[in-house]
Amino acid sequence: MNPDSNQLIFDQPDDHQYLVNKRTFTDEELFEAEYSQIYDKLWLYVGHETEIPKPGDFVTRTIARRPLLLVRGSDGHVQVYLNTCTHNGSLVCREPAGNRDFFPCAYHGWVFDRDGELKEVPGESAFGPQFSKSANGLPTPPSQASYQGFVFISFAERGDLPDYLAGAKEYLDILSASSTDGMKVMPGTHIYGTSANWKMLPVNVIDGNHFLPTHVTYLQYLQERGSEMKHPIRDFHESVLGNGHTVFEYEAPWGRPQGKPDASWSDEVNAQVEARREELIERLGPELGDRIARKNRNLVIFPNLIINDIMGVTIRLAEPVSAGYMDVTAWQIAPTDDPPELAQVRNEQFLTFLGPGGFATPDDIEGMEASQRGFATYREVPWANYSKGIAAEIAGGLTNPGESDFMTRAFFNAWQGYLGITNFSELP
Amino acid sequence: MNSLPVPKQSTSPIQNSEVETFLSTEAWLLDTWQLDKWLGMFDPQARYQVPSTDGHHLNSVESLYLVDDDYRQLCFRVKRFDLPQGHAEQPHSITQRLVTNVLVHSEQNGVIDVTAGFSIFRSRHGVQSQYVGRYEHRLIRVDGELKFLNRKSLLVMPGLGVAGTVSIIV
Repeated sequence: MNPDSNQLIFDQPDDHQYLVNKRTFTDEELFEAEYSQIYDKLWLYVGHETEIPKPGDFVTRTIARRPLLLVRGSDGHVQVYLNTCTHNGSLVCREPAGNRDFFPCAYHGWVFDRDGELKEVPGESAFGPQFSKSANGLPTPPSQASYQGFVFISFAERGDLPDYLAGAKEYLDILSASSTDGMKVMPGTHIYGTSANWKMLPVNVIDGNHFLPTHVTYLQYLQERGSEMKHPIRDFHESVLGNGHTVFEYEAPWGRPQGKPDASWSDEVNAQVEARREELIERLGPELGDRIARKNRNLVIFPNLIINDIMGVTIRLAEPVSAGYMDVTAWQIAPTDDPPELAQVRNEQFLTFLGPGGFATPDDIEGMEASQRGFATYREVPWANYSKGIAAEIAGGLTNPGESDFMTRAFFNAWQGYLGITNFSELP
Repeated sequence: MNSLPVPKQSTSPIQNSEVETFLSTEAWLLDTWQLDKWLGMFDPQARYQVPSTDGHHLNSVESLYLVDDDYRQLCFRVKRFDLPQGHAEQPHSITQRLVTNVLVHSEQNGVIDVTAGFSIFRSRHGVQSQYVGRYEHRLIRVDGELKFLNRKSLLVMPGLGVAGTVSIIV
């Protein structure tokens, strides 16, 4: 059967074929449909509670095109507000981060406090006797909830964050249990743009196929610095976690400051890493403790949140700007109690692979941007091929890492399910 | 470096022109991709650092930088430019650097703190993007020659934006 080039996805397991239409990465009308069906409806990550530890601490952020303000209130509770004055709509906070008791709107002088209450209105009496300050506090998104310190909002009315996170909850639990004193987001943010469709970022993380061709130079770096490279990626499992979320969990050649020593590190650092491993095993039992210490986890929470607990631990968020461009923000989350010499090694581990200056992430970005440019041929060469592993799945055989696209297929199946259409002709 | 003393050109034995020549030579070596020679401008104890765009004042242990290379990492960074699978810089970007506003802030016991402004115009895949920022370098004199002890590049940008990466030396 030949695919109809108006289909979003061509899924023919009998032919061992799963093809995604490249136009889904380039079409601005479909992009708007993604906003209305996905970004305006699902749970979206905004930030982590540890970014604003004290009452009055705040950060501002653009999420799904809306300006948001996250503030820790007087009672210690973290609240997300829509960063817009209830008077004339101006931003009430024009700083990226800080600590404030009050958010005075610069335009007409309305003043809100750190609990979102409207405290001052110049010329209030002119609004008449029916005007009430208490009814004009800072507006909030329709839904907000946190899980293990990860703050999510939705622009739809919903109360089901734990159900939405589904199997991803276990991995947020695991990350949060990585340190006795908890984990915190470190200051210093990687802020960059990528000239590629937003779906490419999660798919890049899901897709184990790209690792060897894309990241050979990183493995060479590890080898040259003296890391033990005998064993390739091993002891792995890949899981579809529900609602479009996925995880790839595995042991890799590199050490993990979280609990796996590395031959290239000093004896003192390795002793601290070993102690961390022993503490995990003592506190959480041999199975879970060993799993946290030794294994890497690439977690994708649909649609745009990535948490890679690998050689370093990063939270990465894609903000779709247009069909062919996204803003990316990435943070490091780390144990609150790392001694400086371990923190130094941890940062080296992070930065030599991850981020816009690493020895690996820039190659991922190059791959995504080169794909986006290639996708301009969608009329002549419509299909991106995610068929790897279908034949083995049907035969009931297991595949090795990088030998199946089944998680990528799960991502696109969920995506199409949320969109609620299967064909470009159904676009409004 | 907010607490740096005000530049005192008259009492400083090093001439501004020597630092200007050093930084212009560096820019020339980088723009012409003579990176092995460029590495020769570093002391083996040196670091190459790029703080995150929102964390200029933070130290590299307690915050996340974009780049925090010791000499070994820097040597690999240079080597990677010539590896066929160093995809992000294959083919190499075309760059032109402008380095200005060179100031010597202090010179004590052979350690010289200098600042300069820079902009880097970078062409890649037919698109030009720009990096703008400020250098806060620490130099030392070894056998009469200036060397980097800390090469710190502060990107004065809201984020990397369309430049996307710091896959070139900034």
